Amino acid sequence: MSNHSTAQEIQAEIQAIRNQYKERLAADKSKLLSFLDELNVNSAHQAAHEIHLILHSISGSAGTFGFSQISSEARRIDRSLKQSVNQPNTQNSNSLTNFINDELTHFCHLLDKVNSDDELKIEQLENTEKTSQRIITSRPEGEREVWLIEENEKLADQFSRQLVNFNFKINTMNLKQALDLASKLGWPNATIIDIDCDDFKDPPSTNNVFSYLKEATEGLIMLSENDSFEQRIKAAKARATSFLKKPVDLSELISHLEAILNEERVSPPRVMLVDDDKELCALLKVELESEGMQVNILNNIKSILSELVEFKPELLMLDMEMPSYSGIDIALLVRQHAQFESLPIVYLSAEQDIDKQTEALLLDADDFLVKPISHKRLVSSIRSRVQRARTLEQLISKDGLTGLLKHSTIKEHATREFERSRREGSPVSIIMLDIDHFKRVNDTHGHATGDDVIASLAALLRNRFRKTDILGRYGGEEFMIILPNTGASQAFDIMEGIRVAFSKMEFTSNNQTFFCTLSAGCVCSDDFAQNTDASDLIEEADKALYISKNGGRNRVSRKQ
Amino acid sequence: MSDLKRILLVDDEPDIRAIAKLALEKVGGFTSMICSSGYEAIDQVYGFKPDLILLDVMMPVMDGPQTLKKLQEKELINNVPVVFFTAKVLNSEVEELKKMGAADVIAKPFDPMTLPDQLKSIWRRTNEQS
Repeated sequence: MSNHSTAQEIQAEIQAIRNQYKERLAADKSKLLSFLDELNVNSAHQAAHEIHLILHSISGSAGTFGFSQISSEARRIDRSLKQSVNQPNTQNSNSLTNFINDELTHFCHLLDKVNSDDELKIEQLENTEKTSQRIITSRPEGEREVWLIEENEKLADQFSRQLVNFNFKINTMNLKQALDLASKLGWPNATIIDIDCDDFKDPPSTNNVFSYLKEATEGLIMLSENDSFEQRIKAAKARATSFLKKPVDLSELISHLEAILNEERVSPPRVMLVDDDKELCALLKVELESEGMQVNILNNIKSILSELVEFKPELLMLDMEMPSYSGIDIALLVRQHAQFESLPIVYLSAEQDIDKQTEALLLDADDFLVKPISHKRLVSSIRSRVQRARTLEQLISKDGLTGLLKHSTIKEHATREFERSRREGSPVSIIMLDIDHFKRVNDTHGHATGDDVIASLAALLRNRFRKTDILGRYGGEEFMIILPNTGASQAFDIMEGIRVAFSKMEFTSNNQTFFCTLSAGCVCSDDFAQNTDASDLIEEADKALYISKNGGRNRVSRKQ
Repeated sequence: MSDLKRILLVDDEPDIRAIAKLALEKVGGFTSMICSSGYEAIDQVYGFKPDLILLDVMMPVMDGPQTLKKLQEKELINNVPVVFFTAKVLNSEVEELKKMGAADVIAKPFDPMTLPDQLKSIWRRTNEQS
């Protein structure tokens, strides 16, 4: 829903249509009253038919606009009316007249209450609107502005030069300038502060600044030479996201910046709701969607597996008490399938009995939330469950050092993307790349430094390629990149840019500065016959990589 | 299986048309064509090419089942699932409508917030069966 309109806009429109509908109910009421006025024994049968049409229509519509009681009463009267009309007795017309008289008078009273009943309903709507207002206004895509508060010019210059390679826009300034600028523009998404600066030497003013930063900024990284409890607690009190010890490990700084800046661009949590209370479901859906989540309500419990496969929820929220099956039954059924073994399952229930809650948790669920539940608790509980599940997934499929896909996973992706490209007739390019003379880096500077080089290259790749490109660590210092919908020359150009950027990156080890280069080979599915498969492409990309190596390294080659 | 995108809705009540249009377009993100009678639907269906048709049962002059019959006779809806909207929802009526070739029946009053999901799951089911 979030792709189309905000929940707030939709609620406002619903309210407008509802107001129209209330006018229609008022018109229906006038019609019914006019039947009552003219009702007599002779006209009763004819009137009954007209009344039936009106009641039938109201029974089918009022609930949609929030007047459920009116719907159900209209239905009840309509049904009884039908029975009265069909009664084969001589007093038929008389009893029908009385019936219509009694029931319509009652129903018109009920319609009068629409306005007072409305107050209740509006209150509910306003609550929903309040939740809608929490919709986060997202920051502009691709904006990676970072403020660096650093008095040491040499350090500031070094950071700026290095970080620019990773597509960060660095603005260096001192604390006073930052405070001035922030009062006009607001703070950026990420700020790095060196707290060894003179500005932070005076304790009382520092405390003030820190408590201000806590309120004003998000995505704060603090740097200090002094890795003490005192410095770290200061950073924690300012709600800094990270604390890094100087001299700063560049790849660590980059991964912290990425974590901060990518946070809002990660995909929204996907939640599937299973509850027989449709109104509650609709309300939860609006609430969760207003927090930027994707929500799917399961309509037919019997199709739960196919819906799970299709929607791929990251969390399943189950009502404990449903008419035919309990939440536990459903949870166990889901867990019978290996692919959903690690899907977080949360029960939502009115069950207050702690023993029953515990029993439910022992049977394969992750959390037990008791209705009614506050919006904040519900959202934070879902977010933390989904986040943990994602972290776990990342640990399983991603390489620890680089955060890129592991060998086996990237190969699976290559096969999938290649098949897709064949199916859709769009090109896919594959690049293999390798750091030149990497053994020498390890031998000269040690394995820890070697790891830094690999992590830095991985960060560079992550920043230069598109979100849709797929990056993997293929071997020790070898990487594979899959570029969907990308032709050979485009892939070559992107890789050339990265090769040049990498050759300019400065690494330090024991106060020694050094540079590295890389070689790469790229191929595109367009250059292959129909009967090839993904492994042919990978093999040819590897051959192209060796052409680069044999041609003197620090270059990119294409399939010959 | 392709996604459910285009929905043709037929209902004689203006308020229901307004809220259903909102539910289909804003909540569900579908493209919709809203018709006020069976006749209008028969006129529009060929040009609009819906993926699914949502038909009110009780309408004046030509009701939902009659409309479906006409659409079938004119061969305007090969394989397009037709879903009925009804306030009656008696099992016998549902069976009757399904016998006529309806993919499913949705009870009125419907909830505008969940209608799109209901349609999506009907769509999925019909596709699985075919």
